[in-house]
Amino acid sequence: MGGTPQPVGPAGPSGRGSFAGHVLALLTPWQERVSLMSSWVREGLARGERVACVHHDGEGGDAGASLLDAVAPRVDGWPAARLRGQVMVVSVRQALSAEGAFDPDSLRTRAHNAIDRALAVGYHGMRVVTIGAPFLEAVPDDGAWLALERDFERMCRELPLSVLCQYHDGAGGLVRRAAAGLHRRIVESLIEITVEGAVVRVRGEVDISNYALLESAVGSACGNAETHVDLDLTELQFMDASGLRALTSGTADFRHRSGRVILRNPGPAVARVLRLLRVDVLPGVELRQAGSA
Amino acid sequence: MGASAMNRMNPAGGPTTGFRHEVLLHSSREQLLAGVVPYVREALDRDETVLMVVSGDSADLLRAAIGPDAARLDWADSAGWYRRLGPMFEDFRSYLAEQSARGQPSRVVAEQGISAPSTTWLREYLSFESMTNIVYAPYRIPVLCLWDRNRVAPDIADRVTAAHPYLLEGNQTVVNARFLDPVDFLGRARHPELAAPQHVEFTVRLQDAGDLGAARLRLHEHAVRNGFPAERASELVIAANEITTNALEHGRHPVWLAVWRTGEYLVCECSDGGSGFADPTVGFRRPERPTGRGCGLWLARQLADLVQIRSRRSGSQIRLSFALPTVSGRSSG
Repeated sequence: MGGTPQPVGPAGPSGRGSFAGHVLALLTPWQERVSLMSSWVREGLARGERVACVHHDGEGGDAGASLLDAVAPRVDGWPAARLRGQVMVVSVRQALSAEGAFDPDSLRTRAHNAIDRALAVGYHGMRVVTIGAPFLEAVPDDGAWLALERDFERMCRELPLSVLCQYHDGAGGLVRRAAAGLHRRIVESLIEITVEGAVVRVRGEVDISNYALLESAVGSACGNAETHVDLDLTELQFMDASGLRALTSGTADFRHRSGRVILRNPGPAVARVLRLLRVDVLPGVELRQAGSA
Repeated sequence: MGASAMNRMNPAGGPTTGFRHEVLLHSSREQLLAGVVPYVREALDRDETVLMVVSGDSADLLRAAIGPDAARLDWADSAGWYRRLGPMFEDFRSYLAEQSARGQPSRVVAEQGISAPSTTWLREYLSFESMTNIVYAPYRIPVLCLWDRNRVAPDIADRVTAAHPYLLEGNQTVVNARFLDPVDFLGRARHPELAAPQHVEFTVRLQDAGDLGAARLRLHEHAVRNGFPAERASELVIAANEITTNALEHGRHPVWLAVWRTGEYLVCECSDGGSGFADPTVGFRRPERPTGRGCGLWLARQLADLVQIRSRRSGSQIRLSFALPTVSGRSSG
């Protein structure tokens, strides 16, 4: 933590080279949600994508205001983009189905159609921002929700589609636990985690408010891994004992099966705690600083 | 109390079983020599390794009295002792563990070596002293602690006595009837209240875990502004974060952090309305795994220069003190 710690999440400096794909946001503060959504929309416009904003009346912070009302003024060119159809506003009810009931096949079909239509008129792809809670409420069970998220994860990888799912931070255990396996990137107030196969990149700070995300991410990477998991800690500014617990327990089974976990480039503050608690000498764990093999 | 404590510490009876942790509270050179020389001779006769961690003055005195055999002892200057108690306790434990693993019978003569320790520091040091009865016991290496009665206040002398299950009187090891089991020694009733600060520089109110990030940022900035190098500032933040996390998880909300300076330290105190740790012996031993109980508190003890804990029914406080960097940039002590 040398120098002034940089806040992450929407307020932080972006290194978001690829602010696209299937992104999960777990943010509670109103300002942070507005800020992230605005960035997402701006990114879509900059890339020449069509942007669909799925909104939900009354779910916003202040009485009656919706997130979109707060986002619109923060996006340059919003009115013009709406007029020409580059920005579309869709209600959750419409997104789910005419009756507001959950129909995953219909949802997938409509997503495919929307992408095709966008490409046909010259856009480079489709970008969606949505509130997750209504979908969570609409699905009949956890399994259906997981299947839906998995579908979108696959579509985002295979098609020119990017989806930002915003869950209120209190969305609960299911979302947090399953999060990492279903989203390439998780954005939360203090932390940003990207999982690509057996590589996990962590940016920000881990403490008791968000360690479950790290545990989920490393668990997911272990599931994808053959011999080793690479945990890039270069941009991890801080990690407490709960974060270390998440690391050790999230990788325990994998390491027990002779998997190796490489902790890459922890900064001084993180390395200090790792060494004090002897996580660096746990079976299957290897600390690697930049410049070493 | 004394009898039951004796039974707890020494179930089989007799000073040669259990952990022979004794103290010589001497008030003269004669008393010092009368106690230590036979103790050392006993060890040498049994071909034991003896580690003498004593002050330069005591070393001179003892070498002269022991004679040529003094060369068979391992001498270390107690001035090398650390002011930071957590690491010192852990490193010493590590030494004892190694010796024990080697199977070579040994014993240690130890004299507290910090010059001009404050009463506050001595009290915390004695908490560790008491915990040796639990943490060092498995290694079965006898430890003789030397204290100069002339150099400590009477109440500290009482605490010194209470921390040791055995006393060296003359040249005899006797069971200490005034010994307090560590749980009792460290227990609620035995600590004076923490002195309130003259001027608090800032406070942070934490309602839930989401408030930790901002608190850390403020603490880091404040530490740097007070001259702490980045790495030390990070250590301060790590320690403060751990105790605050404990309070948020186990204490009563809201949790308060207060920060101020004294002449010697930057102090960070975490308080809440809960009754604190039920078990006062928590946090003195490195946990087996990061999931271990007392992990956060153990970390705080390794990183802070002083950790003071007060748990009362009405509320609890944990006060971390970090030695202010001196003008030359090094931390004092």
